[in-house]
Amino acid sequence: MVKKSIVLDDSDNYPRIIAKNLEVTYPLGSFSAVKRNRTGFKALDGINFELKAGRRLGLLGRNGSGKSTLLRTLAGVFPPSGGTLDIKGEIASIFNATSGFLPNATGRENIVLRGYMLGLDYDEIKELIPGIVEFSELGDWIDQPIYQYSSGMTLRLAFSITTALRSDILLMDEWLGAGDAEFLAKAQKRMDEMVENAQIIVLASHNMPLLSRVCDTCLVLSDSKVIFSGNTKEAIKLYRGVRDGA
Amino acid sequence: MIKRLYAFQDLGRALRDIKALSAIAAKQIQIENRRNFLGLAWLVISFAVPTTGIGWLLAELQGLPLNQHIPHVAFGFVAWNFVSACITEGCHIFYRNRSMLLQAPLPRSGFVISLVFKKLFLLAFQLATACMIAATFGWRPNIFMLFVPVSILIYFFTAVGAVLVVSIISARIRDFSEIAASVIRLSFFFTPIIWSTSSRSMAQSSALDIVARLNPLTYYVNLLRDPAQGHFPDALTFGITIGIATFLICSGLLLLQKNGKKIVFYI
Repeated sequence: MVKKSIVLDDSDNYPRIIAKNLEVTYPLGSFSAVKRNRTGFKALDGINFELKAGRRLGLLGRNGSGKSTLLRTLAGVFPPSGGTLDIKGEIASIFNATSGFLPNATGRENIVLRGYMLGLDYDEIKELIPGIVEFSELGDWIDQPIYQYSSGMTLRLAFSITTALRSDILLMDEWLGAGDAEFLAKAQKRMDEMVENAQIIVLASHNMPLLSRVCDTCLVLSDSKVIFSGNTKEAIKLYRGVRDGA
Repeated sequence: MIKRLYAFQDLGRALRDIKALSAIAAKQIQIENRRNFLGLAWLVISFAVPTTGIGWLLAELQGLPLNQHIPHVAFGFVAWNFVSACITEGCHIFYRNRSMLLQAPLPRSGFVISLVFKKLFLLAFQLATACMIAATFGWRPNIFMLFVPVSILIYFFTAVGAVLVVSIISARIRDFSEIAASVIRLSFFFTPIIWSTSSRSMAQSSALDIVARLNPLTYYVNLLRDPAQGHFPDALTFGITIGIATFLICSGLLLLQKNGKKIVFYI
């Protein structure tokens, strides 16, 4: 496994995520309207939380509540428009396992392209390839264009690439699972290892038994705001109430 | 101070992995042509056939000798294809890589440099093809061709600046790509690629001559075509192309600094 270069922080708070009054605003409307009125959609509004090593945070909320925006903001994809976000540690993000694959490219070529997408350099990718090929069980298929793959084979490749990285902070938008029953068991084991190895986890999911198993605390989001922060069991209870009451 | 600016950080991150960017560019050309029966041979055929045909037609229409006009058109097309492809494809670079940009905080200029590399590889293919076409009409390599790498270096810097500018503006203002495509289409006819400023019909039209002199693309075409045809580009050509390259790089970095982080919201 390759670990990306890390700037070591000698303080006790490594890794960490501290969000204070975090805001993200999507610019909406025409160019002139945005410029004139500073209009936009507040996708995150006043988010506060602090995570240190060993914490597993779950994100609960209905579609459009801001879970994915929060994950992407933590990953550095979306710039905050207000508040502060202090992150120390190497981040690995799993948002969409199969996006960005080129059908005309071989499995091996797609590993290289995806490696770059995950922020690795060329030498790191080359080092990762044997492990990915072995875990995906694609054998000689790895040098065939992926338009010839079955959907199960494509998912196996995507899963193997995405989970080949180790990091201090793991951000996941839904849990990954792929392939037939045999591979599914292997994938489950790999995911558990990832969770075990990462020091901070932020997982957005609608799968409540999974959140109960993996996360110790949860944020419940509604209309871009945090409406509950605390114990996972209580968060699930509250979320069910909000969802069923709506 | 400069190192802290977002635009320079972005560019620095992209340049740190320049080997990967060039590898991706080469791989994309290979992948795009993979399922064709003739594969990469299409790069040669799709350039050679129209270039020779248009060169012959325009030579006949303008009453020019084939051995002069066909090499003139072939080398002109090499330069033009690079310029037009960088602008028209550059407008869509962030939309096409949306899924990657939404996955990780990747340097924006990495996509720009990768596209420019891809177009430079295609330019090299087309330049070799143009030499072969020209050679069949009596053209021979000359000492001035040693200057071609310098022309390509100026092309590279200009293209990086130009693609940065058009890609960021297109991400923010969607109509821009249509405007850019129309301007490029029109510019083709106002740039001496298939016609020559020294031809018989041009001598009678001083207006066209002025248009050609005022058109900055003329100097870019001449920057590559002149050494290929045995002349050294004049000082004006150097001054204008290097000046435009500097202006575009500065404008691109300014736009990147102002809008680079927000591109993910626009695409």
